[in-house]
Amino acid sequence: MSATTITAEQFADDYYSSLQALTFNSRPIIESHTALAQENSQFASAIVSAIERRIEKAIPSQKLFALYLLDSISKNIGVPYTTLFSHNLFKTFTQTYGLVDDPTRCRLIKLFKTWKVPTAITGLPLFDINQLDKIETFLIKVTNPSNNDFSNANNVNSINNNSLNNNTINNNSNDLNIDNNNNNNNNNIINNLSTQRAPLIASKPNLIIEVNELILMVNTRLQASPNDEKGQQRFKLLNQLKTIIGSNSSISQTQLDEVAKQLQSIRDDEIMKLNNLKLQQQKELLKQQQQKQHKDVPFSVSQLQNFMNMGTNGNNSGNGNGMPTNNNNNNVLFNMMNSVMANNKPESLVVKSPPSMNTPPPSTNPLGLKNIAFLENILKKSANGNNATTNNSINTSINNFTNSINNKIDFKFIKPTKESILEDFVLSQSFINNHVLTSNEISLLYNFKPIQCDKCNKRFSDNNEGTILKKNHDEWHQRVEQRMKIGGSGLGGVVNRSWYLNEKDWIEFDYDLDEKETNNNINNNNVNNSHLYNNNVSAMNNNNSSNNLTKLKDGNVIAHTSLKITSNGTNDKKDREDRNDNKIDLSEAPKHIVRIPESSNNEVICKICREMQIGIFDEDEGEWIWKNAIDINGTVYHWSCWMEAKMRNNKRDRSPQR
Amino acid sequence: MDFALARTEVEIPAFHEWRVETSRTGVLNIKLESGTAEIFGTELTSNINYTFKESMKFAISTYHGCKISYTTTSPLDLEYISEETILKQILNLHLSIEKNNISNNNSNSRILIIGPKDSGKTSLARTLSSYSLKTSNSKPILINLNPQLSHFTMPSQLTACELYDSLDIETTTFGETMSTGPGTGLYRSQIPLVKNYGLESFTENLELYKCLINELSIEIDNKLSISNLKGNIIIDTPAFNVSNAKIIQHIINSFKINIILVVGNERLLVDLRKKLTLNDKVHMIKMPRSSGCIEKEPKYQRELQQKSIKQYFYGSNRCQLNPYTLHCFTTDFLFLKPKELDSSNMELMDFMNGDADDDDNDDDDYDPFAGNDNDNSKKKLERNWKYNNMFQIVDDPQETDLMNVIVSIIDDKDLDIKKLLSSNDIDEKEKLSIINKHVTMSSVLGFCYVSGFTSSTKKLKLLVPTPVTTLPGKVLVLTQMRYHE
Ligand SMILES: [Zn+2]
Ligand SMILES: [Zn+2]
Repeated sequence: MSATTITAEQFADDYYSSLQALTFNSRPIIESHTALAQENSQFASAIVSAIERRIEKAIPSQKLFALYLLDSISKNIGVPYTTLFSHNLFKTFTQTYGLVDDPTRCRLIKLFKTWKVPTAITGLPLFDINQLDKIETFLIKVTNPSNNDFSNANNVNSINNNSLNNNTINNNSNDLNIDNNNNNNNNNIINNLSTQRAPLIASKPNLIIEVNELILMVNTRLQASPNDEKGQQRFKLLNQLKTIIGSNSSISQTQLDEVAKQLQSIRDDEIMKLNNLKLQQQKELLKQQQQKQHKDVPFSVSQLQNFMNMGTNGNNSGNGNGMPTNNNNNNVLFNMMNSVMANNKPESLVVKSPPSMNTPPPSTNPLGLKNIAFLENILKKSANGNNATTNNSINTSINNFTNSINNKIDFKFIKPTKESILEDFVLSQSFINNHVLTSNEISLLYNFKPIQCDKCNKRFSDNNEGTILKKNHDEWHQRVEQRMKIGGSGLGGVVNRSWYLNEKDWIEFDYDLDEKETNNNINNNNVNNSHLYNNNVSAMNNNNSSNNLTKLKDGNVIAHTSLKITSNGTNDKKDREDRNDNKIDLSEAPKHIVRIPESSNNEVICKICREMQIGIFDEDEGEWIWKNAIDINGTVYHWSCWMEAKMRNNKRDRSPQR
Repeated sequence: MDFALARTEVEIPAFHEWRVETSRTGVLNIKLESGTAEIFGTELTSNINYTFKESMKFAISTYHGCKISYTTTSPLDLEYISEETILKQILNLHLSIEKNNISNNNSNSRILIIGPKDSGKTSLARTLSSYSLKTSNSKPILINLNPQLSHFTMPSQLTACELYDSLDIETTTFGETMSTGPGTGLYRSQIPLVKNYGLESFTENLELYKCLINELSIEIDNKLSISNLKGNIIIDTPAFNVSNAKIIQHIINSFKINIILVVGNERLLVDLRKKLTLNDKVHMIKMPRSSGCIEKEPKYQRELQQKSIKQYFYGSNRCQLNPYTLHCFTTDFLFLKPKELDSSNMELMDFMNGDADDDDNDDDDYDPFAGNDNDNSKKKLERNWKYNNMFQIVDDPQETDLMNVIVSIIDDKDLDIKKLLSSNDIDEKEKLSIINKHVTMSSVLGFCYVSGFTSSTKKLKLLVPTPVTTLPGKVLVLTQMRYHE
């Protein structure tokens, strides 16, 4: 195709139609189209329009790849493309963002972050700053959890204001329901920012950008913990790497790819370290909160990562401290890090970190790094853990381990993702017989889900999903404990095994969904709405339903017995007189009985907790009764559930969000 | 003079295990002091005091080294630290399986565990299940095809259970199922799917056994087809040997097995390789037998079974239950009983089951990685079983049929049993066939125990788990299990 014989329009049409091939993330296609753009820069505006058109017209799942092309052209060629793309950048980016799924959004945000990093040549961000600022404002808005905080008291403002009071707590726990899925997703986006990155095209400029970003991350960490020798070494090493990549010498693509890979693991590692800081912090706040008898987990990984990433990518390269511009956020982050770091005993670091972790082998001279192979070697070492001590030096290993358990800091941070740890694993006889497990590999059993329930051994991931599951789990423990107190199902300790689910219900049964539904139900059910209950109960009474949905819900019985102090209803006109009754005397429960009418079935579902109430024979009175029961207009509830709900009803005037 | 029991500390080095057998009467109390420790993959936590009673045999193992302390009310029958463990191989295996899942687009594995008696199949199944929970976000499904065991329920049954929590290490049934109470307070209740086999040995009615395997696999497929995160399937089996190749092949085909673990017997692995028709993507791995495996004497096996029956009605230490007595009449129910076919001679069985096996062979070109579940279940839904060879009707059961028998209550809500039995349009053979088909396709809702029978009045005294005025099903299967209160 000769540029001189065709018009810009023709060229753009051809270019556009050949972009139809960009249906997957293809480096060859993106590179060839980048080269085309470079060779035909006289058609730059036509090419830019073609690419914008492609981004607009492509189906959502393919838009990202066209944006990668935009990115590649801008980063590899620069002007005039950067200027041209800048015109519509906000529109192009935000429209795409609005149409794609969450994983893609994560990649978009990651992509955006790279645009804010000053380029080596101009010292300015890749695109027009105004456009970038607009996009940033947009992203902060759509991903800001404080818009609709869903599970934790983890929004920045609430922490800044120390507003760990009842209002906040109640609101937050109320919000945990399906309606908030969107918010959850947004939180996930932030959470995933750092781990789910767009594949980095391992070109020299890209790598430099990446290295710069990592330097900022490490630097930020060092600000909080200046004595972290390994951090300092990593800082040094990264700077050396930057020099090497930035030099004129040619580096093969394989080597660049390798460096990119290593950088990825350093990035993961940095993120893990932040998670660890956060974990500690979370634990601490939790402790404080428990003292105040609050239940919610106060701070989330995503928050911190959000801070961190915004900070390191933001407008900070000048002063080099990598901190967010917002002073409040700044302080929060610093205070938090400092408090965490203060707890990190230096000796534990020494014990826990395998000696080669971040440190070049002592015999090498870090300043003499000239060839990339050597560099790779060091990088590799910095990313790989030591082999596990499988010898019998029991005291050392126990002590080591105890320390790491107690401090919970560095323990899991060496090579973070499961995928990377398992990279070399093969499902083969000889591997299984012979492979010697490393400490990283073993620690997958503990650190893939690093949050452990205090009450049982159950583990949870340290992401949003894990936080939600943990919260449900904690509530379950609370309900169970409550029930242990009142004795069985409120029947004075008489507990029976339920029937098993039939195959249909078993197939449909889902623990997590079940939890969620129950939470919603508990939250949404308005106890005043008695006709609803009557309907339901009569449906249940219409018996031989013993094997259908009734049964299914019976499966929840253990998990779902009421006593949850949350509500999000809007009707709170009545029953003020009970306002001071903050506690129900559960020992009263067995005294409240309802005689079972002749016509009625022995079993009835309490529509508050959805547990089955089973009648027992009262020897003294010679009749069948339900214990811990109350009859409200012909509907039978657990007395304890009813009282609880009534109390809850009176409490619900403090929900500013609703 | 000293009422407090002495606390003994034990330090277990990394990759070692502490093997314990508690005495018949003693109560052993264990606490984790430091480090990490697990029992068959279930992680111990220092926040719980674990209690073991009544001849429990287990091992505490550790990857990092740990310190535990214990008290016991009477001396332990056995207690030693062993360095001959297979911890390395098990974790290598587990992580390799995880890797394999990742490489296969985050699919799940379908794992079949085969091995001789007392070779550690169940321990391996438990450990792999627990590890799955710890290193993935999906929930594994643990399946028991060994009717002698009592995973989550009583013996003589086949079960499948999706695991939400780690398995309970204090009971022999791995955990409590749902009750009207708060459960153990430690774990959420298990929700098993229970299929009635009713006999103790899989050889006693192969046709029924194979049919139930097929039904289970259909239900598993259905369950997985509606879950977003598909967990590993881990299948525990009775002591198959090479002469059971056909039944093994049947399991492989039904569950679309992609990993076969042969425990503790190299010869078996080699022989099975020859006998089985396997897709080239099926992995066959040999796992060593742990030196900690103990031979379960028949008497001990019995005790375990009795214990699990008792647990069904009365619950466990942490979850005490109250059964009820129900009075009714044998005429209220349809009683069935699994046919006991003498099949000690496997060749004869193969011959007798020739047709069914031919059906299996049609499945041989099935590719477990072709993915599309629907196509295959369609095939399985053509149920060409010999339904007349499974359960027989016990008309007017007598005291010898009933006394002390454990009875399975079959879910019969889709079947009008009275109408069927009184119909004149269907002959008896056909009726039996319909009933058998129904029973094999249904699951068990629960059990009762016949504690009394008066033949003159046909009055029945049943121990039932929950206070009901009628049982939830009209079809009752008299199992081989007996119980004595
Ligand atoms: Zn727990
Ligand atoms: Zn209730």
